[in-house]
Amino acid sequence: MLIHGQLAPDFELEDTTGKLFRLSSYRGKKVVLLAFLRGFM
Amino acid sequence: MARLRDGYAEFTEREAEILAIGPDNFEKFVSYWGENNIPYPGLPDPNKQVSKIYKQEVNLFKLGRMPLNTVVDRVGMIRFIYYGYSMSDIPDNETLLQVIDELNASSK
Repeated sequence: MLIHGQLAPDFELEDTTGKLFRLSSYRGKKVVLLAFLRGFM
Repeated sequence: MARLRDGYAEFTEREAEILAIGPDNFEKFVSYWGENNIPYPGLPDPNKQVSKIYKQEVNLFKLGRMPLNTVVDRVGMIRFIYYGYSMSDIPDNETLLQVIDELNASSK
């Protein structure tokens, strides 16, 4: 498990329109909530 | 998902962004996002590459993943992380907003 106070691993993923999202691009700008889903049922 | 959608304005007011990452493929994301009017980005991770890096757990019956929520501050540090122990074990918005408020207060 990852823990509080640890550097959040950076990643890149595309949304459904092909726009690229990189976690590190929010640095210095915004707080980010990462919500990992369980999957659509 | 609905909870975050309904509370999304409270997150954006605090200049926070929500990124939802899921194990489903692009097509399922497109239909779910459209049907449910989700206002924040949905990022399909069908190969589970990011899910694995974040150690998101697979549920016991392999029907999906266990929910995981984490708040990352402006430096890139994890300031809140919660691994759900059941499929519906997700922190409420108040808890998440409080973390964000504290981060915003400390960054001023």
